[in-house]
Amino acid sequence: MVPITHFLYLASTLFVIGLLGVMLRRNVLIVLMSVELMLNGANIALVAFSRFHGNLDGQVLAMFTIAVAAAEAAVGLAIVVSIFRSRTGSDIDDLSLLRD
Amino acid sequence: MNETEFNLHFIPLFPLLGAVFNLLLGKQLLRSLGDRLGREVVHLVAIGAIAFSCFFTISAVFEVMVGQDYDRLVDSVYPWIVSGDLHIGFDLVLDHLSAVMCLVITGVGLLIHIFSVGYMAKDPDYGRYFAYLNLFCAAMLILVLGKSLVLTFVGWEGVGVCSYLLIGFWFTDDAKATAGRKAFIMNRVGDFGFILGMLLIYTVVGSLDVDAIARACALGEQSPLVQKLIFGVPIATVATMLLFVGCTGKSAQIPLFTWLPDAMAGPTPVSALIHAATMVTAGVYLIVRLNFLFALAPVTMAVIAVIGAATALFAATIGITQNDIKKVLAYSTVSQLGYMFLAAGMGAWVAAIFHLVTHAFFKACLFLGSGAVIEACHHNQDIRTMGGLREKMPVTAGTFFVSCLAIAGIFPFAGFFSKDEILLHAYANESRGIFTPGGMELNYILYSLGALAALCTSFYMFRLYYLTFEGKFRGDHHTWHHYVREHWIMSLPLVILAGFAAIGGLLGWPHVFGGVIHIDHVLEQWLEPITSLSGTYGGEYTVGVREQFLHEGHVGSGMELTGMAIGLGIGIAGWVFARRLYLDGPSEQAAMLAKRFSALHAASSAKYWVDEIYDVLFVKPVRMIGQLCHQVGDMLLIDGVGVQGTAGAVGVLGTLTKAWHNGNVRRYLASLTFGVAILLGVIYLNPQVSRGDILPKNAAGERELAPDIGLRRTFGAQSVNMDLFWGLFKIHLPGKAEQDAAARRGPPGGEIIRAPALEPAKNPDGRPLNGGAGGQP
Repeated sequence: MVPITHFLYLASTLFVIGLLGVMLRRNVLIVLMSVELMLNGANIALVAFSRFHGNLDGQVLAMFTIAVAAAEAAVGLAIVVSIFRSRTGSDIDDLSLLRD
Repeated sequence: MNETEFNLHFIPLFPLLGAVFNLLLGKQLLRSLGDRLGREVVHLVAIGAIAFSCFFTISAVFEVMVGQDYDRLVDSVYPWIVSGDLHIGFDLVLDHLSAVMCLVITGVGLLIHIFSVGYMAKDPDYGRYFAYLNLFCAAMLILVLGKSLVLTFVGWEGVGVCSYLLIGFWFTDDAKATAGRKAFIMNRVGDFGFILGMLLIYTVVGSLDVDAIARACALGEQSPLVQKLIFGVPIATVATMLLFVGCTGKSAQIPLFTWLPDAMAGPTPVSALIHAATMVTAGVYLIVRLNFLFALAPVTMAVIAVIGAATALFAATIGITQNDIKKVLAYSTVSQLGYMFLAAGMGAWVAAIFHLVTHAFFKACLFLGSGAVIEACHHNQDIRTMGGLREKMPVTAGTFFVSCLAIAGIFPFAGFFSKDEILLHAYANESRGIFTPGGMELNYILYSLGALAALCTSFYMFRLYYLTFEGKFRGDHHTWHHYVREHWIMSLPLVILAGFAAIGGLLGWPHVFGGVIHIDHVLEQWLEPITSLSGTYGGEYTVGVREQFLHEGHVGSGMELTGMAIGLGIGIAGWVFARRLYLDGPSEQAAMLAKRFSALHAASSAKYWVDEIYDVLFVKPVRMIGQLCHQVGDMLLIDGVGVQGTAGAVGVLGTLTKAWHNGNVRRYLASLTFGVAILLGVIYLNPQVSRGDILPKNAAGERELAPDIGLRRTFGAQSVNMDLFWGLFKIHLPGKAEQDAAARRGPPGGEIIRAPALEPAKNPDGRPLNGGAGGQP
C-alpha cells in the first residue's frame, strides 16, 4: 500500500509548481492554469486524507473545489477574453487598474 | 392629614397644551390667517389655557374648603422614577399652601396674559411670546404642586428656562441676550445648592417626598436629621443651608441678586409675572413648604433672616437713585423679597406668604403700570424724561398710586398689613440664643434694618410716582402729542390688581384690631395645617413669635399698636419727603442733597459696584479658565493631538504602506507566500514543536502527527525533503538522545507505520468512527 506521505509529496509538488507559476509567469492564461494546479494539489491532499481517515469529508470538499474551480475558470477565461479584446496584450503586470 | 383624589393635573396641563399649540402653530397662524385674526387665535388660546387652569384651581380650592374630612387633594399621575429603593411618582398635591400659590399664579397670570395682548400687539413674535408665557405658568404650577422635591425641582428648572427665554425674548439685541444668560447662569449656581441639599436629605430620609421629610422631622430634636452630623454640624442645618443657596439664586437675594435688575430686559409683562409676582417667590415658597425642616436648623434660620433683612435694605438704597422706571421696580422687588426671607427666617411662615401674596398684587400692578407708561412713551424708560403723565393716562396713574400706597405700607392698603406683620415678628421673635457681638439680640437689629428699608421703599416708590406722573412733561414734544392711548385691555388688569392691592390686607387682619373690627386672620387659619408641625418642637427648636405679642389682651398688644404706628409713620415720612423733593420734577433740593452726600449717591446709583466686583472676582477668572480650557484642552489636546493627530498618524502610515498596494498580483502572492513561510517558520522553530513534544502519542508511545492514520513525523536522515525544509530555518537541532531514539525506532521514518488496530479508525473509546460506516481505505 502506498503510504500517505507519497500522496502528500505529490500534492505539495503540484502546489509549489502552481505557486511558482502564478508568481513567476506573466501571461494571464498561464497564471490561470497555475492556479488550477494549486487547486488540484490541494485536492489530492484532501482525497488522500479522506482515504486514510476512512471517511468521505475530504472527498466531498474536493468535489466542491472542482465545482468552484470550474466556475472560476469560466469567469477567469471570460475576463481574459475581454481583456484580449480591449487591450493588446495579456501581461498580468499591466492589469493593475484596481490599485486606485 | 386626610386627602382625596382630584384631577389636579389639569391645572398645569392646560397652559402646557397652550404652549405647545402656540409654539407649533403661532408663527403659521399669523402668516396664514392674516395678522389680525392670527393674533386673535394666538392670544385666545393662550388666555383660554390659563383661564381654564385658573378655573380648575378655583374649583379645587373650593373642594378643599368644603371638604369635611380632608384638607388636601392629591393626584398620582404616574410612577415617574422607579429605581431600586428610589420611588418618585409624578404626584401632585394641592394643600392649603399650594392652593394660595396656585391662586396667585393663575389669577395674576391670567391678568398679565390679558395685559400682554395690548403690550405685545405689534410684536412679530406674538406666538412665541404667548407660548413661553404659558410654558412658564405650567412650570410654575408644577413647582408648587409637586409632592416630591424632585418634581418641585423640575418646575424650578422649568421656570428658570422660561425666565431665560423671556428675558432674552428680543435676542437680536445682544445686551438682552446677555441678560438672559446672566439670569440663567446665576440661577444655575443656586440650583447646584438645591441639588446638593436634596441629595443630603435623601441620604438621611431615604425619600424626597415632602410627607416623608415631614415624618422624619416630626421627631423634633430626636429626628435623624438633627442627630446625624456632617462635619460636626447637624445634617438639617447643612441641607437647609444648601437649599437656601438655591433660594438666593431663584429669589434674587444677596449674593445672587444681580441678575434680577438685568432681567428687566424682557418684555414688561414678563417682568410683572416672572420677576415680581411668581417665579422669584419660589424660594420663599420652598422654605415655607419645608418649614418643619428649616425650623430644625436655627443657624440657617438666623442666616436667612440676616440675608433677607440685609437684602431688603441694600436693594432699597439702590432703588432710591435709579432712573430707569423698571430698574427701580426691580430693586424694589429684590428688597421686598428680602422682607419675605426676613419673615421666613424668623419662622413667621404666615407673614412670609402673606407678604408674598400682597406683593404679587401691588408689584404686578406697578410693573404693568410701568409697562403702560413705557408703551405710551414709545419705549422710553427714563423717568427723567417723563412727568405729568397723569393727565394723559389717568387710570394707570391712579392704579399706580394705589399700589405705591400699598407697597409703602400706608393704612389700610395691603402692604401695610403684611409688612407690619413681618416687622412685628422681626421685633418680637425669640432669637434663639443668637446674639450679635455687641450683646444685642439679633432681632432688634433685623427690625431696624427692616424699618429703614421700609423708609427707603416709601421714598423711592413715591419718587418714582411723582417723577413719572406729576409735574410737567420733560420729554420731547413728539412723545407728548403722540403718546399711545390707554386701552381697556391694558387698563382692566391694572384696575383689578389695584383693587386687590387695596383690599388684600383683609387676608391678614391683625388680632390686635379685634376690639374695633373683628375679622379673622384668614391666612393664618388657612395655613395652620402647613405650619402646625414646626410649632410642636420643643426647646431650642421652637419657632415663632413670643406668644404674648400675638394675641389680643396680652401685654404685647400695646407694643403691636406702637409698631404699627411706627410703620405707618415711616411710610408717611418717606412719602412726604419724596413729595417735597419730586412733586414738580427733580427739585434743586434733591440735587443739593445728592451733592451733599455725593459719595453715598454715587455708590447707590452705581449699585455699589456689585456687578463690577463680581466681574473681577468671578466672571473674569472664569472666562480666563474658559479661555485656557479652550486653548489647551480644546484646540491643543482634542483638536490637535486627538483629532488631527489621529488623522495625521493614519496619513503617515498610509503613505508608508501605499507603495505596497501597487496592483501587481504577482507581488501580492509573493508577499502572501513569504508571510506564510514566516508563520510556519515561527511555529516550527519553536523547540517544542521541532522536537515534536506537543504531538500526540500513538499506541506504541511514539509521537506522531496523526496517530489514527499513522502519519509519523519524519525526522532523520531518510526524510530528505523535510530536512531540506528544516535546514533552511531550523535553529534548534534535535538533541543526541532524540537522534538515538530515532535510530532505535528501527526502520527509518518517512513511511506509514500501520498499527494493527488502525485498520478502521476508531475513537479512543473503541467505537468505530462515523458510526462504523466509514469507508475502507
